[in-house]
Amino acid sequence: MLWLPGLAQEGPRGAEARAFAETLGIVHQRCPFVTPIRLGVAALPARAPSRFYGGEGAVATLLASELEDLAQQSGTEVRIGVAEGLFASVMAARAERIVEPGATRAFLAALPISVLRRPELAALCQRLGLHTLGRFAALDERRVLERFGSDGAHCHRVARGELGELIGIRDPRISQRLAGLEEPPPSAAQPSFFGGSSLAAERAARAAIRVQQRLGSERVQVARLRSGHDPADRAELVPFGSEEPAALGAAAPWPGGLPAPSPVTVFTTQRSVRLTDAAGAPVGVSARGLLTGVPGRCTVEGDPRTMSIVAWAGPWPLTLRWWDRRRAKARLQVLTELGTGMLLSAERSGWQLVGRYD
Amino acid sequence: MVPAAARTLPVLPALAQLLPGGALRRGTTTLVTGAPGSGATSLGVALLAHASRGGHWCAAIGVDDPGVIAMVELGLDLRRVVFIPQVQGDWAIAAGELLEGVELILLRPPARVPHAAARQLAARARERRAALVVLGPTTSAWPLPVELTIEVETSRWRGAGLGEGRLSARTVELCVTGRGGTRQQRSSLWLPSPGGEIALVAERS
Repeated sequence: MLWLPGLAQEGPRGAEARAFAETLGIVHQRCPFVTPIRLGVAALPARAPSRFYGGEGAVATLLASELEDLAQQSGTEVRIGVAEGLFASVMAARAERIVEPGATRAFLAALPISVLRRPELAALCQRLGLHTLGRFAALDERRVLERFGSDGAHCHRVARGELGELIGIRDPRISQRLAGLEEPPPSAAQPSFFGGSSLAAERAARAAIRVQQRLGSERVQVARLRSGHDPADRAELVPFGSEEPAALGAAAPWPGGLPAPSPVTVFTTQRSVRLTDAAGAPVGVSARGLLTGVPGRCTVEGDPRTMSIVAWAGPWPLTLRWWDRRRAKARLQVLTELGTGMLLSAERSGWQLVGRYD
Repeated sequence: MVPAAARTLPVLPALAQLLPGGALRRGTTTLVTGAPGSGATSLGVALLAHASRGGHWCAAIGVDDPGVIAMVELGLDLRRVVFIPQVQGDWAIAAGELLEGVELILLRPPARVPHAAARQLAARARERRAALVVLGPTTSAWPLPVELTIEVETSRWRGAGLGEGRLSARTVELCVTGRGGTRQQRSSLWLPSPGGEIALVAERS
């Protein structure tokens, strides 16, 4: 972990950010995996370069000497530390320590409670006479949750060394900001997801990131639109944060698509549908794109009920493209006796449930 | 006197006519119920639409397999919505964390919601001045009394015949009930109308 305290606060002219970006450029030549964490703080995987350069201490000395000139110019000192986990590493850099594997909790224990950067929690701990992370870590887990809430419980786990990363230690926009230094500033009119500069936007993004940290980054998603024939083709969900703001198009007409209203549930897993006539004979789609019978009943995979069909519309043939994985031939809307509207797709394997008008 | 915007979140004009005060009250829970296919999900999404367009941040938790195109058609601004589908047991964690940053949550909780989890979340929403819209098959989907319940009782599609037309418009019959069974009111709503709008069905005399 690399810590440049003089660059941690952004000045009015952005000189700190530029100096930080320059620093990262130099470090990058030695350690290609350097990652900015927030202004003035960057993480590097310690093991690989230290094996190459002969120990973690050697890497620290090497980097410090290379960064010396730059540091002097921009008026900051360079501190390097090594530990397990992002939080402990930042603390190690602050203290210019190399914390041996397994010694993380003991190292953290001596630090003041204020390093968690939670003023309210720190105040409460001070009142309880808990001045160090070690004293805080020694509290019972359940009592912490009761007294300090979920964020307190999170800090507690960090203090115990059970969690490597303290929420809030990363600036989620640092990479973007540093990238922005090299390119013309993005236009304000560009639609940006959860972006913009408003406080509310920032809070929303931070909340989404916290959920990603707790449940996994793939679990929090945003929608992206594109053109296509099908409700399933026309939109996709991608993990929050992976999205390029510009790729989020506005609602545009989709040539060749079914007109609105679209199904509000679009299934991502395959669900086969058995479609028959009133007598129970299967109904399919002919080569000419016509139904081979009169739809009378349907059964959806996973649902034991067989429902009568009171109305249907289509089939609308789809142009088959050789790259189309779904191999859909046509779409059909059916309305059941319960008033449920469903969108089916005729595929080689039979009917599939595309969506439901929930 | 607190300004109205600080106490409420805006909804589409047609929905404003259904809600007491003409908006979603911050800090409260609204329960929207109906069987799959009844239109309850569409109604829940529609309740978020105006707020998302007005710059309020929203989340859809446990709304599996979201039909994003339909949501745009219902008026949702996708740039202000995060989706956490297939959330199962983690719904309370997701909702609790998101309440730190979003103002409106559409939540479809799993089958059995523990009382304590619901209470904690409702308290968090109250504290954060956010609104919860809970989707469920029946009113027992949420273990707490709520400020407002909107039940989709029946729904009727129009436009599709026997191989003709297409599903083009739907009317739903709603029963809106205030806290403790007060102010029960029945309405009929286009979801959507043949013109693609959400509107109250004009009273037939």
